[in-house]
Amino acid sequence: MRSLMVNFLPVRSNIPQGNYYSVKRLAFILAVLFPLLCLSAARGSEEHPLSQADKPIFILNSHHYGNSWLDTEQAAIIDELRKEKLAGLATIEYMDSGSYPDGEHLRELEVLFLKKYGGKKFSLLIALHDSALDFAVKNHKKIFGDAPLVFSGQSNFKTSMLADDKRATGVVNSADPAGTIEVMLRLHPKTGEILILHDYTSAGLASRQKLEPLLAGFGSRVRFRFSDNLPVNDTYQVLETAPDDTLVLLLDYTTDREGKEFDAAEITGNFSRRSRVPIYSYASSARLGYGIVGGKLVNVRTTARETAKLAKRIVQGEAVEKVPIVVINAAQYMFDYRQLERFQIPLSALPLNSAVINRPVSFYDANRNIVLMAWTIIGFLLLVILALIFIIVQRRRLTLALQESKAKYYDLYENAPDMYYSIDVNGIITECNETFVQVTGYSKEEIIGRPIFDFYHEDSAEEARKAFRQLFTASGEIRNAERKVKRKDGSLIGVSLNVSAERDKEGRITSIRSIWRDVTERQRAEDKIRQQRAELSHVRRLVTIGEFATSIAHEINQPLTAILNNAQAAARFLSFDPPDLGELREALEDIIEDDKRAGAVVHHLRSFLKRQEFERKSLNINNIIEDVVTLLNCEVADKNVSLTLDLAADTQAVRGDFVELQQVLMNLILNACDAMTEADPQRRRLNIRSSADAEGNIAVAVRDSGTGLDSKALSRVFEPFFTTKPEGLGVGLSISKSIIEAHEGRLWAENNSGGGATFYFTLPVYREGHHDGAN
Amino acid sequence: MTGQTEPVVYVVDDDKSIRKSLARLIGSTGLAVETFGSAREYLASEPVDRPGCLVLDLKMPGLTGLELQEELTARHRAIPIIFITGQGSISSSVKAMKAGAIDFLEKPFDDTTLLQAINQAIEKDLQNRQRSSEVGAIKKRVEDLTPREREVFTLVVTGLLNKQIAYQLGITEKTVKVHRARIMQKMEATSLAHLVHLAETIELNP
Repeated sequence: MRSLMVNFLPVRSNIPQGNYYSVKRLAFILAVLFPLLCLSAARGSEEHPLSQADKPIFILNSHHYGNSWLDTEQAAIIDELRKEKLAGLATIEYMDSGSYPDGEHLRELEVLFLKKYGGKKFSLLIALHDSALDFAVKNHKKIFGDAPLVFSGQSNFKTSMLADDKRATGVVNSADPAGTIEVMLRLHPKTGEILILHDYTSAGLASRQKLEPLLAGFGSRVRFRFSDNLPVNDTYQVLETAPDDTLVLLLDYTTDREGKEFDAAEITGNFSRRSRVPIYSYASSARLGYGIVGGKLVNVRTTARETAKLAKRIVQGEAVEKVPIVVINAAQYMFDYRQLERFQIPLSALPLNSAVINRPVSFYDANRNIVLMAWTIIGFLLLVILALIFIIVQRRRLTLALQESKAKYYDLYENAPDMYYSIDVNGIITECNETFVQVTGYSKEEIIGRPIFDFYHEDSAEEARKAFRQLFTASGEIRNAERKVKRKDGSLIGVSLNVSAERDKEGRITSIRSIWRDVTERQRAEDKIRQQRAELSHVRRLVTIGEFATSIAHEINQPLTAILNNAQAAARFLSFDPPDLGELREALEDIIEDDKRAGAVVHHLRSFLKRQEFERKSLNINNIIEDVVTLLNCEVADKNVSLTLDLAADTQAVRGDFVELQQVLMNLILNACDAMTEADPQRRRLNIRSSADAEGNIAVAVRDSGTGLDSKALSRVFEPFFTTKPEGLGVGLSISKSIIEAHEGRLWAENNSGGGATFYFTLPVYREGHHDGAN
Repeated sequence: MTGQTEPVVYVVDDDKSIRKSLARLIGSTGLAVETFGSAREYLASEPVDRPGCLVLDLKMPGLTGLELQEELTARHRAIPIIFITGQGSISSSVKAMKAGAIDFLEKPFDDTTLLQAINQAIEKDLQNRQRSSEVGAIKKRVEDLTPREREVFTLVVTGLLNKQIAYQLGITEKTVKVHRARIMQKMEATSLAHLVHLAETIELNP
């Protein structure tokens, strides 16, 4: 007599512990690794409020607590009720009818229950199996009042069992014995005999009676033999010695011949262990898992679900009278994997849609979520790794490119032909490149930290400071400014300066980058060009002198002509008889005027010539010769003259004016070229020779291979306006002579023995302190 | 031929002293002298029908001597020219002489050289003038000829025979003879040779 109150409240412990923790761990992993997935994986553990069942459910169990079959069924029903959210306390009473099948016990239970529950209100009365249904129907009104009755687990149901109780309904299991035998024969085609094992209790015999009519249908396919009423050990022996072609079909078996009672699960296990041959069954699936191979079974879970559904409908107010009895036809092929394995029955032989319990589950099946999650994580991680690798490779590439670019920049910066440096806002050098070091001659240590102005020559320093100050007010740029820079060794270089200021976000100058380009060579070249230009202007002046002389000649010639005319006219007037004195006087007066006019022209010329400055410097005559030769190179080449220089290596310096001496040489060279225009181009040779003469003077000889000078020319060639050339004015040599003589030298000409002429001039050697000769 | 017969010397020079001294020197010989400071001034003067010559400075500002020479030729005011120059280039003197200059004198020059040249120039001018008056008279006679006579005249002086002329003009030889006689008469020619000379004098073109 055991009663039990079961709380229907959902309890957490229902969820298997391991699984629960796995889920928790998983959630943890999810939460840590990827919250996104975690969001989608949120479990719906929503708990509905319990429905208001004011009255408890009464469960009447035919057997005792511990009867595995009924316990399984009952647990399934409670579970399903819970799923249907039928709440409240269930009262369970066990009738223990297996141990006490006599009427005495039933009467005592009647008394007891009436005492315990008479007058109590139940929302529902659930009767499990035959005895409970039988008892409930008999005492329905008496003990349980108008609580509706729902029976469950009936496989041998007959409507008579309800004894016209209108307030009863339930679930009937419709087992399929024939189907079970079919599948047995299919799985074991060589079967010769099927031993139908049952006990000789009323239930056992009832199940046998129900089966017997079906057996005829199998005809000669197999023999059927019912087990004898034996003590359990003998039955064991039968099983242990069963021939190979035998199968066992287990019906109800709870009690042996000696009245020894067994739990369904326990006896099933015992039979199975001892049996040489497979044991099948067709009733409730509750027996599956304890030793039978399987069969076409009524699924306990299906029964329980249907029972709970009925219960719910009734509890929710549906009139029990109108709820028909549910017959479950869905007997299902169910097998125990362990037994299949034991008897080497391949899974492939099983009918389609067979349920197999105890199938060894793969890790994947057992931990499907974890595995999926793990694969997802691994996949994700792989993606992450790939992304990281990509990033790393990119970074490395960038780093390499950066390094390369840095190296390039370094190379460009350090080895650029220009001097780079940066200064701060106070003009202090903060960095400079190698070229700066090389060009200025200072070491980097001497440069960094010093003001930039220290490096400028005094001529540029002030300008540099000024420009530096203006940087802050003006554009912040300097372009192509030319400065003089003093090197460490004191020498000067010319630099072209470019400056640009670096600014911060507010536009304030933070530092100043500068470039110096060494333009010394360029400046030198420019100076040289300037000098040559000056020299050319002297040459031009010479030409001007020629034109000037022409105009002077005209200016003098005019009064001379007038004078002559007047003088001759005067002579005529004198010869008149009488002489015309009046006309004579007028003529003479005009003569005087014209003479004065000529004098004025000469005076003008003299004052013009006086304007030419006379400079005396220490000069190397070879330099002058080379210079003139350079200037006249084109002209000489134009005239097909081959020019050779024959210059003394160690000539002493002469004293004089560079430009004037240049003019003399130029004159002599051009004259020589002109003298050779008639000569065969192959024989136009011009030689310029410098040497020291016997008196220690410097002598220069300009020797041509031209026509030479006739005796008249030789004596008069230095006279002003004497010329042998059709276009010549005859001033070049006379001017040259006066220049050389002003230099205290001598200019003369000689005919060469082999043809042509040589013009010589000498110049005294320069002596220190001999400056007074200049005039 | 109503102009004065007294010759005149025109002096053109931009230099006043030269101009003045030349006028004095030339004037001392009794010749009439007129002076001009520039070529344009001379060109602007009224041409006088009087024998004379031009003493012309080669190099002058504005119109040069050579340019004046060209201009005078173009205006049919031909007059013998004596060029004077400070420094004469060969090319300019050649050009001047080719254009009919009498002389090319380089300053300063001897008085006799100049005066000789002047005399020579005046003589030349007188000849030119006489010749041009002769030409005028002959041309006047030619104008009296009938067109047919002029045709015959042109052919006669080229040396054609009467019958050739007749054939060429499509007339009879006899008619040619009549024309010839009338031509000789009108041209006051004494002989065929004289007639040819007259034709040459007026540079008659066939």
